[in-house]
Amino acid sequence: MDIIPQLVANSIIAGAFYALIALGFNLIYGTTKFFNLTHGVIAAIGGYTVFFLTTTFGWNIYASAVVGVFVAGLVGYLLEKSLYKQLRKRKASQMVFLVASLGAFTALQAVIAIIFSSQFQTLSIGSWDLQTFNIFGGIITVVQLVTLVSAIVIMIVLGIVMRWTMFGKAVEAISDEEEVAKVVGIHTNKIIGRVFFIGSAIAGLAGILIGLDTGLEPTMGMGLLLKGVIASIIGGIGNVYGGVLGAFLLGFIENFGIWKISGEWKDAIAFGVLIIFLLFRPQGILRK
Amino acid sequence: MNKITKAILAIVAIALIVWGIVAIVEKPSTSSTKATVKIGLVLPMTGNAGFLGESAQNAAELALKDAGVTKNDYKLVFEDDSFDPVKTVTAVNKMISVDHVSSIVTFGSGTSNAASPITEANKIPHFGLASDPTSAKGDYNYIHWTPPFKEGQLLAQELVRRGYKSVSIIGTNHPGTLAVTDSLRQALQGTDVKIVSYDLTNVGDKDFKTVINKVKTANPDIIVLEQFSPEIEITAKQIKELGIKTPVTSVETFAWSNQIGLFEGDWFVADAKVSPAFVAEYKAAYGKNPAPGASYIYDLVTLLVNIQEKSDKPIAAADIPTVLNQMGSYNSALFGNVAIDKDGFFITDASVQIIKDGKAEMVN
Repeated sequence: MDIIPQLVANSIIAGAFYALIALGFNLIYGTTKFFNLTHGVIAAIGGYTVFFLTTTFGWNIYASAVVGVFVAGLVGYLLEKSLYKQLRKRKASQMVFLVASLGAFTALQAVIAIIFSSQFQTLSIGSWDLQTFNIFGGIITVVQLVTLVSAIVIMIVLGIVMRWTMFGKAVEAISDEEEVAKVVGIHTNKIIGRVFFIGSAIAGLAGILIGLDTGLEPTMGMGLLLKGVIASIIGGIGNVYGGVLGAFLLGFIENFGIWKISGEWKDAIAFGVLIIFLLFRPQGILRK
Repeated sequence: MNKITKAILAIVAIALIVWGIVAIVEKPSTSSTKATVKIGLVLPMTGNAGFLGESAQNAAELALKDAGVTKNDYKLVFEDDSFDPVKTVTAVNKMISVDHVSSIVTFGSGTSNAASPITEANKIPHFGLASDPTSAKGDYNYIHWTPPFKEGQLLAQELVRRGYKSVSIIGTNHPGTLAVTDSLRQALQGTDVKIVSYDLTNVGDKDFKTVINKVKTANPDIIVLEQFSPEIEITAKQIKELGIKTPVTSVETFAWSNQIGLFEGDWFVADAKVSPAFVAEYKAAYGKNPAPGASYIYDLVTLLVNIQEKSDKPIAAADIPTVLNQMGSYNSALFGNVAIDKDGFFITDASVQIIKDGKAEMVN
């Protein structure tokens, strides 16, 4: 039974990474109602920006991380302005949005591979890399702890912003019915632009932390996106708290699922759970 | 003549002119009596394993240079598959239908497995640098790599010799590494060394903490890591993060890592010992040591050139297996006497190596 504390720690760590992806994804989906596939590659852009700044210019990791988060947010914002806003103007169908975001995803991923090569790269925080904490018998690294704290703090801040600010109420109104929101004087394009910036910046942060924890590769986006989507569907798509709940639940299911069976079953278990939810509770645990 | 008729006549005239030019340009030279023999090599030139492909290409070119003045002209045709079997299939089809190569060399078990049904159907001899015996199925497919049973046996012997009593295996769901781990499990049967945990992971996985946790609970004397890059580096990092001090070993995969320094001081079982003369020659030509696989590529190109040179006229692709089967074995400048067994394996012995100063070195 010595294994249990570490299994719990592993589940929480995995859940924290999935939560960061799910938070941004859910925020954008909750507002615009489309599956933004570029969300995964935006995470990679955050990580690679830090890699570029630290290796090419010798920047400090912390300053690079701030720029990385901003660049990821900016790329998301520009995608919204140059692509999704135009599609909304033309009243494009959900399928067109999905295909457009898939196209943008593939193009951005290819650009990353061209610039940085498909070689696996790692980020480092120097001597902190192997610094660990023992929490109730479970070992956790500095980066993993930062990820966990970030996920919780961002969830709380987003919750407050959505509940108590004019911006949050505007997002809620657009989410309910964009046309009605326009009629009552909400500048919907401006709000959606900000939502894309915030959601993408959170994805960028996730990409940076993943780069520090395991490493970076241009194709990392799709795997991250899928786990974020599964977490969102399990917890409740479009619901900020639901996404986080789903992420931690997914982390526990995956890690406890391979306790007694081979590790190769991990993804099969995650997607099996997704199918079960889609069949029996498509709205997720928490409704929007 | 109306405008449409004039346009059609103009297009036909242009097409005829272009065809004529192409025919003149492509007309075979009558001044040379040398036949051209093309050898196709599908290598991982890009991606995480790009360094392997680059080294393999260098080795092939070096082999051709070392062949000196030859009766035939030899042309090496390179294609990149990034270790992706889908790209291997495209490259192999192109080499057969467009380049008309007389033999094909592929790198890796997954990619060689993808190539072998195509080469078999087209009667093109195919040589895979692979561990999975599936790659050698049929009359036209061969494997030039130390067979997994040799490597598994040697690792089992080493574990016994070094006094280990228990071992955990972290493997990958990949035909090459599965062949190796299966042979190790078989070789350990009947010895005092017990496998206390065996876990498989998938290529592309990044979180191995729970798998490592299971290893920690099993408390082995040594851990066998049978993963590729970057999974093996991530696993090594996560083993350290979880405070596990158990030694690690592998069959080949340390040498394939692009962060080899992570395994500094660790011994492992590798494929055949490479002749120092080849390493020195390669280093003189390219300024660095050859990567894993380069020696086999050099040996294969040399062998394919030699059998063509010994023949009065160029040997057709479909007849190369007959020549190889009749030979049964050959004397390799790199590996000594290499037997070609009935299953299509080129038999070479495994070796024990250690990572020292960031490089794999032979253990005496």
